[in-house]
Amino acid sequence: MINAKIATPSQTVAVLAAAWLLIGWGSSWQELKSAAASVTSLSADFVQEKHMKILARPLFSSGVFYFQSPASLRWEYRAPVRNILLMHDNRMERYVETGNGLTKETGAGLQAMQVVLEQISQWLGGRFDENPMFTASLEPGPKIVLIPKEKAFSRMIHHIDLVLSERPGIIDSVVIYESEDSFTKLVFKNAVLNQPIDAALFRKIS
Amino acid sequence: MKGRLLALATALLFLSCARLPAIVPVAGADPCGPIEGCRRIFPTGKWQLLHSIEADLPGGRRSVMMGLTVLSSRLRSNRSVIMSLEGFVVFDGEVNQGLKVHRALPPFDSPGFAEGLMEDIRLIFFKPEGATAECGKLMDGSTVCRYINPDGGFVDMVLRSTGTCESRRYDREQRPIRIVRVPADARTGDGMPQTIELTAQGEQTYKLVMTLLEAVPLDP
Repeated sequence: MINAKIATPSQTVAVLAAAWLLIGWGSSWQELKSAAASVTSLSADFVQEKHMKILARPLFSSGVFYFQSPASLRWEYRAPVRNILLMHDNRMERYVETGNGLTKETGAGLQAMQVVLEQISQWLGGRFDENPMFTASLEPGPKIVLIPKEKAFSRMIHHIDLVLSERPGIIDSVVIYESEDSFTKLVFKNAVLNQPIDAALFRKIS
Repeated sequence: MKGRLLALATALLFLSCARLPAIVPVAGADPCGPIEGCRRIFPTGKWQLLHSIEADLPGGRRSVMMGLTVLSSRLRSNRSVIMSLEGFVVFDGEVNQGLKVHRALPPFDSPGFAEGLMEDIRLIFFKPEGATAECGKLMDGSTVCRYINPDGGFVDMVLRSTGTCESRRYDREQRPIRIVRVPADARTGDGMPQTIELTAQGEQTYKLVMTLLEAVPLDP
């Protein structure tokens, strides 16, 4: 049931994590590229809200992520269903909490997620506006709007808004719109920038 | 060779003649009485339910997703959404007098998927709507009430001696096609199942283990 297209949201979340490094530090793509050069690591907690027209109240998820330049990422949901995405040395693994504990997930989706690593590297190089998956525009607010280039991808994600904070390096929100009736909002807090991160976090689940 | 063919033919004949389990009548004013506790596994009123779903699929594949169901027991209507663990909607469908699919991404857009999903949802969350055919005991002593589905099939509601409640669905040829199990120790005080197991048999084989993450009562 899991295939490449189903894995795409994970890819997007991973890309967003990398994107977060680059925004709020400038008002042009060139400034973002310059700022990206100084980022070596980042970690933060996140809360995710799922909004749909039919929901009496949003669905909440929460977790933590760690990033180490050039392309190591640990994206971990801790509630309501614990699952961990690890990306390191061009390898990607995902573990999901099941009745048998944290179980490694296998499937074609993982192959597709390898593609994201290349994209993250590109973004971390400051080539934010060169991402082949999205057309990016820098708008007043300040806000970055990402629109999928491929029609097949746009069936899943209509567009993404990255609303920047007035504080450099911080954003107010990342909102992923699937349709007019459905969107996902990510809010980050407790960010730690350029501090050493144990490399084992990107290789092992515990 | 002839022997093998004969054995195969016998097996096929046996399968083609699958029959509903025999029900032994029991004396008493209300033979279906003990089943009443099992009826409480079905939500009453309007609810917003969120489950994690572990799916064991053909070929040894395993997947974990989330399922959101907004339902009305009175109207027997539901809106069902399947999401990735990140919350992205891969399927969104609704049954309210008819089936309407709002969103279906591959492979959830395959022919018959929406109808099959909604039939599973109906078996899991709604009391059998057909007439009661008979109640009594199965050969193993379990209490059973049999309903005739509007489609000509059958649903057996079974209360095992362990307290496990089962809804067993049979097609019109009386072949078993779905089993829903709710263990006795997997229910809240008001009967809401914390864990539901669905096993699909026949043409489609898969198993779902649903764990309740959130139950929100909605205004009637």
